[in-house]
Amino acid sequence: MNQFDSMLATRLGRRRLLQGGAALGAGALAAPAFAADGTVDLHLPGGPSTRPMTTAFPGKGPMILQRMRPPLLETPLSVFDGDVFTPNDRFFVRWHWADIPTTVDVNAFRLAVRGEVAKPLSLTLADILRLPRFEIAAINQCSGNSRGLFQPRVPGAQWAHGAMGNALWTGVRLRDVLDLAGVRPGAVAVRFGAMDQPLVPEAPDFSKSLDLDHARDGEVMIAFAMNGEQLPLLNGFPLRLVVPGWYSTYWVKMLNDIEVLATPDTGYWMAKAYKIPDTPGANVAPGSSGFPTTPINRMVARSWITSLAEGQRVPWSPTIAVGGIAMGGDCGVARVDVSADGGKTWLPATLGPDKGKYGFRRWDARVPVSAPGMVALMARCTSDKGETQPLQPIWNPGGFMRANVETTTIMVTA
Amino acid sequence: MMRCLPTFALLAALASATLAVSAAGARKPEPAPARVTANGFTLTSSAIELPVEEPFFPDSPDGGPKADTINADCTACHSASMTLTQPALSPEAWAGVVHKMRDVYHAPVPEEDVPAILAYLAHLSPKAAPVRE
Repeated sequence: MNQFDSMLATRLGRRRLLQGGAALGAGALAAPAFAADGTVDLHLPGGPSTRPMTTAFPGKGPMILQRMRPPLLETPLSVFDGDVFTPNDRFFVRWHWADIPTTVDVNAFRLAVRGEVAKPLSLTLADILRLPRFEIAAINQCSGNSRGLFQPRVPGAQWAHGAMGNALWTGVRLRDVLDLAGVRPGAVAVRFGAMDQPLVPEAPDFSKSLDLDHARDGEVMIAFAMNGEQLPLLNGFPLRLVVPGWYSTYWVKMLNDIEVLATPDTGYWMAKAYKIPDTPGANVAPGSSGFPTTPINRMVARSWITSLAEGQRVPWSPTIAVGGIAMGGDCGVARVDVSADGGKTWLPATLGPDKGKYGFRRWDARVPVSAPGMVALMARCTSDKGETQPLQPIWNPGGFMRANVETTTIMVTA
Repeated sequence: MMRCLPTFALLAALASATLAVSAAGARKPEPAPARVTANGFTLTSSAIELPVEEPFFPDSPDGGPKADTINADCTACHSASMTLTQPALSPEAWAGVVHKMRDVYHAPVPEEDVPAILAYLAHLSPKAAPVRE
């Protein structure tokens, strides 16, 4: 903890359960128990598959409750059938550690820039707001999105597909902030730390890093707004990193510390956690170990049917409307194809407006259905880089990077 | 390493105390939150209240292992739902999870409590397939 952190910790009254039980903030406990808003079936193979819906989290509408503390809130797939931008009050929530500041004072907040820099900085929010601004549409997707669908199943947050969201982010270029501080020659990486903390002081505090060239690419953003409004506290108020095209683990929330490094980051969250097999598609045989690994990085093409739910009953007609969203990963969407026969034949979908290559792209199609009965609907995205989603799922022990063609089975009634 | 308090009891006591204060209307209105404005954008101080904890680990329903140890040792840092939503895991996989919590995340779980925790977890996964951590 640096000096600035200490100051901030004092002002914000961080609660460290095990450093002194009396410091437990009442603010974290004052709301009523979560409302009974029904349950949802996530169709996870082998279960448990049912989750409560909750409206108990401030600034959030109905969300799938995966974990109360630290919060894991999943966005229902039906939300993605609306605008390609996910509303802030439906945007998924994921925290690693339970000591999340529940109060942020905009006057007290400082963003430290330190390490291998000519001039260490302590920036106020006004300093940030005065820097040149830009906007970017980008998908924030958890590395473990859809982990609950892995077979064989793996431990971890058992998400279905809703640990993701797309927003129009507003903020400043990380490059501009680094240039203000003056990166010293020989620096290789930039590490990002945040205000949330583990309850156990010895546990590895969450931080992530990017190579210096990536950090300075002009697209990596220090964001202060999403969809035109300040960030919900549970999505990282007042500042979070936006790393377009890369998984959410790098999008550090409540960002308050930027450290320029002279050597690669060997911290737990880069060297041990969020590692994927260094194999094509991050795929290994179930149960294998001892393979080479690399930190998870860019996202890949995915698509989902959002207009029809698993098991939905649809009256028969010769063609049935189906729609959804797609993403290219770290590039745009070139095309989406749909199938109504379990992947034997494919038809092109019509793409909606392009609202940014790192964001969701709406698609719609009509598929022929010859007769009533169970129909396996599929969507398949091809990215601007020419990557097409595979039919076969991958497996890895972390449950990361699922991106195969998903199937939505509907019941077409006579 | 510090032994974890039976935190759920503490949480419950604090929660009921806080609710009692609210119900009595003893809180004064808060002053308007602070703001910072520049170049046409305003950031306003934010304060939220997170929901009260959901129920803790239940005792195994069929006379199986009791939940007192797992409640005392594990729920200080995370909700029971993190565990109760996991798929069926093999005893080895559960042991791997507990090992990670203790050795990597420094959860203050005494070594002598581990067998009781693993017994409870094994009971959650009666038909566990061999899935590795």
